[in-house]
Amino acid sequence: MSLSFESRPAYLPYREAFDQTGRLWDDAPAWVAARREEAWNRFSAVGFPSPRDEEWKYTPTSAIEQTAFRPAPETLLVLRQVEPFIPFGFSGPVAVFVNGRLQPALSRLGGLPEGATLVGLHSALALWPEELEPNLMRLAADEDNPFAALNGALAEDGAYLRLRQGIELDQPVLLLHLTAGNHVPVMAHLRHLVVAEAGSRVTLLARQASLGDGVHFVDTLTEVAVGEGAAVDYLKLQEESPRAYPLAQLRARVEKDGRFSSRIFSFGGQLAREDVHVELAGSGASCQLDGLYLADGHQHTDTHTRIDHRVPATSSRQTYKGIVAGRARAVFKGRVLVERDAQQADARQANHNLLLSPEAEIDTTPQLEIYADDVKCSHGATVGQLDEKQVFYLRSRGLDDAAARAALTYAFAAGAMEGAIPCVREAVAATLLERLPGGELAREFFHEF
Amino acid sequence: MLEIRDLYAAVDGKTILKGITLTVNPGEVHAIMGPNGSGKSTLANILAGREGYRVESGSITWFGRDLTALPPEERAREGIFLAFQYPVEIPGVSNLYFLKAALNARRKHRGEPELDAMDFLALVKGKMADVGMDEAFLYRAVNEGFSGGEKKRNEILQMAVLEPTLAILDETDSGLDIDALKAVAAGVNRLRAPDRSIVLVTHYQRLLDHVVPDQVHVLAQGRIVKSGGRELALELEQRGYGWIEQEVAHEPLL
Repeated sequence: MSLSFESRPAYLPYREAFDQTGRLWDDAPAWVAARREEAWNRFSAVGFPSPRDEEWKYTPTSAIEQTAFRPAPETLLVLRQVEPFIPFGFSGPVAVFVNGRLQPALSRLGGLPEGATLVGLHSALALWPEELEPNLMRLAADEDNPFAALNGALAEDGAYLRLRQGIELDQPVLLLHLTAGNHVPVMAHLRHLVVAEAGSRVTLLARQASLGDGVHFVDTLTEVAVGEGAAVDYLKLQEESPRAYPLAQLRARVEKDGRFSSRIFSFGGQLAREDVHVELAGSGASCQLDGLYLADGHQHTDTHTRIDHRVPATSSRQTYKGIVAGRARAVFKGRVLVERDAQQADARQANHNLLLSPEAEIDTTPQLEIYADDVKCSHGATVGQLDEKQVFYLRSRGLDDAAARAALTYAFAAGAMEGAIPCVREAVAATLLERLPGGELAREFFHEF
Repeated sequence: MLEIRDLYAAVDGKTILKGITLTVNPGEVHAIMGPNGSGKSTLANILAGREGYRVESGSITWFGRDLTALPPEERAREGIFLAFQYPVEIPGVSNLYFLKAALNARRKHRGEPELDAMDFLALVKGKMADVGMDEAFLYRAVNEGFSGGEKKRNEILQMAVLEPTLAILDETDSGLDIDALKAVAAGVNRLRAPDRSIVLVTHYQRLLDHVVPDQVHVLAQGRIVKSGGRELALELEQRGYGWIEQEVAHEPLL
């Protein structure tokens, strides 16, 4: 019998953080305080996941629990420090967060067409509390993930992006989060809310990175409401330092004929986890969840997806790719739930992994739970090494073994970037080439056209 | 330039080549013919340095050096080219990047400056016109979704770009329609030069109507059992391989 979380050493710092963060929300409506309290109670009742928890079986979080993280201090950056993270050629609106807090002076929040709004969560709660009330900490209220509860309790700030009915944004919106601090382990909790009303359309780009190589724990939760016939495309580039603990949750609810897509590039962190949970709540709703994860050295990366087909005529597609090298470990679990009423559901899932070393490990688990009888569902997972026939073909034309392997590894990954906005693709490719085993050789191979 | 002496070689532990001796001089075209399973492709792959193909005894020398000591990429940079019987598909790697990397690896090895994108494009487009390939193939992934004929043309394109000193064509002619066969033959003929040699591994005589060999060798049961001029190929076309195999069966094996 393990001790309750409240009697464990980690409890107190988190309790202190909860009290401290509470002061940031003093001006917010009463329901915010109530929901924070509710979230705290859920977290303190369960604490960090235990290895017996099925959802965390392969991903022990004891390293996070045992590190004395303090809330990240307020840090002021100058534009020069932020600019490298704004993709070249990107000219849309930007919300910059540093150590969990919005930095208006570094952001470009204005300039959106009428009917589209990008503001910090605190401003949004002051201006339109009744608008946020149905969604904030409600889209993701029922999560049994302890980090969702922790985020609800400790979030300091976030972005609120709202599109009125029929508003289409041609330019993507960038949400950038940087964590700075090298001396003591720090943590930041960030919560974004995106509301796309009926018929609206937007592309969101989330990028998160470390400044310096400090140990930090970044817990991000993004709630997305996709209205009737609306379309939201979410792209994410996680490029934290190899000492960071980035945990993220993406939760979307898609109404009738709405469309949601996510494409997550997860490259950093000594322990990284992406939880994506989409609820297809209206008929004709669809989603496409794609991603690429990379783990090398002693990194551990985990992706959990869950799609709920709740009503008839919904469809989902998933393609995740992974590259695991060194002594790294990757986990993929894709759960698709088709409820009894969700006839004509169409769900496909694929997970392809490339293992680059004998010590690397991948655990991939597709999980289909189907309660309707007229459905089309499929899943496939592969785990393999580079194709030696391809390696030999390249070598037989004069490429050395290392260059051939680097080119093939990059080619495997590059498929996951196809179709992404060009400036995003370039940013992802640059990070990928920096972090991929043999990236220098691949850069040489693929440069110049 | 290529000297093969009493070569025994095994694939996956099974001895396939049993005493091959062959000399290829600069400027010569040799055809190696023989029934299925005679060891033709094994010989081609041994020369290219394919893993799993092991020399058991005998020697292969390339301009006086021991070829078997070189890894496949060194052989390629030294000017040995194998046109594969079954070219592999490489999704995600376009022909353009692939050809440029291959050519520059060879140029670097020879101490020549690497070509930049502009010069390379000009060169490769000219070669594509020669081979009869649409430029669109440059931007497609290597062999991915190519028809059988397109794959073989792509091999000939690579050969044309790399301008090898020794080109080995492993049944490049099999399964081709007449237009593709002519394109392959034209590619080989364009490569012919006093300092270059070509080894055509083939099952059929028909390629030899278009590329006239200096010597024809018949391989059976892992040995060269007969060598001759072009007329030997015609004889094989008429009589098949049966009579050769029977002759071999009656000869005492050393």
